[in-house]
Amino acid sequence: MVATATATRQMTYAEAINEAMRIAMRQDPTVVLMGEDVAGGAMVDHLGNEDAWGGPMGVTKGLVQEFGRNRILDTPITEAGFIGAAVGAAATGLRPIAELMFVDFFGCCMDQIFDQGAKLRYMFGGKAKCPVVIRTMIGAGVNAAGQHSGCHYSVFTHMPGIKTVVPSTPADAKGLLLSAIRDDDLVMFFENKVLYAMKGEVPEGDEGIPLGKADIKREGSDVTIVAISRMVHQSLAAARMLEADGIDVEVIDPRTLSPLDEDAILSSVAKTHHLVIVDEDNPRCSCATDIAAMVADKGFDLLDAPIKMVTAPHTPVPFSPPLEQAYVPSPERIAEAVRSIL
Amino acid sequence: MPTIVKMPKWGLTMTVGTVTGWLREEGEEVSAGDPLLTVETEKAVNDVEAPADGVLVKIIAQTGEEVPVSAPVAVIAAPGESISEDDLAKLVASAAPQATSQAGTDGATRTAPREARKPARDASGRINASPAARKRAQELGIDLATVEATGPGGRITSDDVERAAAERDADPSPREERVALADGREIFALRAGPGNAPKLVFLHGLGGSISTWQMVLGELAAQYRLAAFDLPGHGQSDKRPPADTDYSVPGLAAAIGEAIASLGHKQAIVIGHSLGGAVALQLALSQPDLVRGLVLVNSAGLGEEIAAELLALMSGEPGRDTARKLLELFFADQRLVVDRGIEEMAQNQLAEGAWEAQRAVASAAFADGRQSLDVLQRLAEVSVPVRIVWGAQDRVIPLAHAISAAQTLPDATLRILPTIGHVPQVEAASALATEIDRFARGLG
Amino acid sequence: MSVTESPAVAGIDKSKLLEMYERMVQIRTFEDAAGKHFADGLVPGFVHLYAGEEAVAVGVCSHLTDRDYITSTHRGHGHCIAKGVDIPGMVAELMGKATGVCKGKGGSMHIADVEKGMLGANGIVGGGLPLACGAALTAKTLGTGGVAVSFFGDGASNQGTFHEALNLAAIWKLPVVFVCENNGYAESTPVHYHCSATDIANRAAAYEIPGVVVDGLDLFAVYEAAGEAIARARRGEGPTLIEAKTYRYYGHFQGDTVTYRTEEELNQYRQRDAIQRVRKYALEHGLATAEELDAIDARVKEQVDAAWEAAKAAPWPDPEDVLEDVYVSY
Repeated sequence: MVATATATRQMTYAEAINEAMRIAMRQDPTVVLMGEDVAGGAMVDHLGNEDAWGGPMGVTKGLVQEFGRNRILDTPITEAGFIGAAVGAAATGLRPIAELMFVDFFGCCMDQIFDQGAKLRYMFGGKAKCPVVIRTMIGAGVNAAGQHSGCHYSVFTHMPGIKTVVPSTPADAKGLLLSAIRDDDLVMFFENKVLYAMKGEVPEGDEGIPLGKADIKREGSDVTIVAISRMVHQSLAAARMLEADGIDVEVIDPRTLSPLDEDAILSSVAKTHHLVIVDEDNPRCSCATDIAAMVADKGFDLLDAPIKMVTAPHTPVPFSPPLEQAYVPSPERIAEAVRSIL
Repeated sequence: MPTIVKMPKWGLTMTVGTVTGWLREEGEEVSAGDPLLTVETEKAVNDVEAPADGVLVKIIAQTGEEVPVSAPVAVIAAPGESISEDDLAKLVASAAPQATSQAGTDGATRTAPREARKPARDASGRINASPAARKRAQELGIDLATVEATGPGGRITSDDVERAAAERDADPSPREERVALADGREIFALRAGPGNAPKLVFLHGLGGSISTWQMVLGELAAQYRLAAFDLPGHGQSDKRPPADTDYSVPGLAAAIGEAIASLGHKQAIVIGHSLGGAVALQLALSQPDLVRGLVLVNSAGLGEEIAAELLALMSGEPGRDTARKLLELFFADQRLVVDRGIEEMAQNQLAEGAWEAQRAVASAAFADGRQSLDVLQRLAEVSVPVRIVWGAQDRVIPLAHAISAAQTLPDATLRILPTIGHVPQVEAASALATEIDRFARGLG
Repeated sequence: MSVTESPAVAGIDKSKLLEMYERMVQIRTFEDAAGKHFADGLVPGFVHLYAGEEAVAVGVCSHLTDRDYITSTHRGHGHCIAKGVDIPGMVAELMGKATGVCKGKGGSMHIADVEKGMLGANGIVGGGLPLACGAALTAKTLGTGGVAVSFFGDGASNQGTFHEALNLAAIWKLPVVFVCENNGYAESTPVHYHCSATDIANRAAAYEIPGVVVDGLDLFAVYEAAGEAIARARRGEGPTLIEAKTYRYYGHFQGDTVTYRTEEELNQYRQRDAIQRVRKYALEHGLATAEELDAIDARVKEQVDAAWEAAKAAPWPDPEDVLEDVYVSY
């Protein structure tokens, strides 16, 4: 293989996700996409093969024109039904991508995800696989209120048999989604709605980013921040604020929560001796507590200070803008947590 | 110009000496090098020689007096010189030792990010220190109670421990330490010298201890960072029963290597005497990152022969008789076999577990009356520079070993001390110190 | 049956008619204002407007009192107004103000007022049906004489909760009425694609409960069908499924480009506008003068405008309040 620098282009997080699906569907005829309004306007005569929406945020826009309505499947609002169908199809030869519009809707279909999809291989003694990707929107920040703003990746990370992916940049979104689609296990792919419009350099080509490999988003020597999804950007902003005080922050983006790149986190803490975890999910039994427990267990002697967690409060997501702002970890809160342990 | 005779400093830890007898009287003419008086210290008894030709005009410290190091004990007038009582009094007064101020740490100490303060303690007295600080303190042998805290709420951080260790290591004053090994054993060490100076490690021979190096260490402490160790089973190091302890040369080398690493004393020139030389060779082979060069002093490990008399004595009973016979065997100049030395060696042998341990060392190294050491076969593999220093009158290990090893070792030079016996560090301390210094300078 | 030509509907006198007319106008005026203020940036988040469907909410809720409960949908403003939720409090809630009916915690999609028997707009499609069964169980168990009505869309009729709730209500003979507002589209997906049944009301047959189709643009038809179903429920004879065929004037949410339907289709429905039909009926039957109806229109407009002005001036919640109301005690 000739090592050449991969060409990149500017694109949004949403476009990068769209491109990953397009590449995967071109390469593999068993990849299908299903979900509520992923095309939209099914059986509306004047639309023909056009999509009405291409997903509520336009993330899947244009796919139906290329792949047709046999592979881009609009579904009724029946999460248990179509998520379950995706699981069943995955176990029998397709490689479905199912779109759960907002992660908060997992309650409508959790049995199919966790009792069926996630456990099927294990219960069948390894004689089946479940290569399904469930793409879903997470995150507060657009005042979508209590049932359209949660993160909840902690819930899925808790469950064996599920891989959980939390891309924070357009490039990561593309590379990780390609790997997720090619992965033979059930993958929950969490797209932060606030990041959809974020632009970044995205490599051309079809190379995946391996699941389970963290990325150092910023190198530093004084404190390690492990930040998930959009919190990577909040933490980078905090790092810039702290830089003015002479505090050198390292920001680690785990990129996948299950599997978790423990070595990357421990190596960073071995260098900085200080750990702050920034997580937009609720604080109890969460990925933040999980990472904190892992470091306390395996890296106790590396620590010079208590592990600090900056998270959402133990509440649902509020609607009102000032309340939602107080809910989401801010760069100021992150910087304050860093200062409190140095 | 009169010359003040001062209480010498023979060892790093020597602070006072007791005058045990004057060999010359006031008014006698003396020549430089003539023994003037005998002095006993905690660790040795020795003659103090006249520093100049002239007349011993005044004995200041009488027999039985304890005198601080560098304090005047006598005055020698130059030939033909006459000194008034007044002048003599002034001279003595001016020669009184000044309280030496301890050299402080240099500006290299990292600026603390916060004000340093005494570490906080909880109600039970437990010091507030981070997990990383606790671990590092154990690794570096730092007492947390002595560390200044910079963390929030008076917490000691790992940086604070590193800083304390750096300050300690930069402190040139001599210090005795017990280094804990992973298996729980403790190795006794004596350290001294400026923290940033080239490093030297001293390993004594069978039945010996750190005190054998006292005079050599005194001459080198100003320019070198020194660490002398009591081998396992010797001196003040742990003396576990041979049944569950590896007293072979590789076992000793592993223990010493761990102690060296623990003190951060890597890349040292290792000076080994007799059996300690074999341990030094083993270290150079098995842990080359610790060793920058070797000085082998009448060293084992360079040939097969070993004095049968030594082995016979080691298989006898411990105590003064055996100690005296050993010292008679070691020294070319029998005047050096003094009561104080015999007593010290006897005490070392009689310490709980010591004799069993030392016999185990002897029987592992010298089975069947010969040196049966792995290093013998591997001399050509020794990659570091070696200086061999040999007292030619050695009756324990023959000079022939030095000569052949100088050819077998890839990078070795040889210095022969013609009139000296098995123990140059006592019999010719200055000469050996000079050799070590030259060798170290040669390595740059 | 053409309602505009029918004689006076049983039980609707002049004051009842004007009251229902005013409710419908309140809903329309409220939604038009919400759409406008959303575009002005005063309303954060997602907003789903009910304009066009007023006859359903008003026709049903006119049979209800505060002891009766309703569950609603993401398109819930109309149900709230029809059930008597305070309009200034709703506007403040839409803006996220501290004076909102939910203190700014819920917003458009979660407006609720339990005192008024309004168990919440709902962000989960199909989320309300089982809750209505619960409210009906309470009424039955405590003997309050109350009923529960669950409003839901055509899309929700495909959710498992629809089927589970109908079955549960049937076997327990719960005093509950399921009102499906079939506005033709589940988000952007037409009902003839997403639903296997020609009439969603047909699904009632599977649970052996009454299933009724009504013209959801006809206030009187809805009123009549709902009256029967609610009376049946109050008599302890169990649930009814009503499918009201209706239409929404706005898109699924504010910002929807609505490419899945045509202007022609929208205009056809506007010709049959539910409010205009009530107005016409009232005038034709001499139940009200144009001046009286215009006065109602004007009064409602003033009321809604005043609510917006008040909400604009109202305080924001204190950020500390984010922690309140999670538990009763903890």
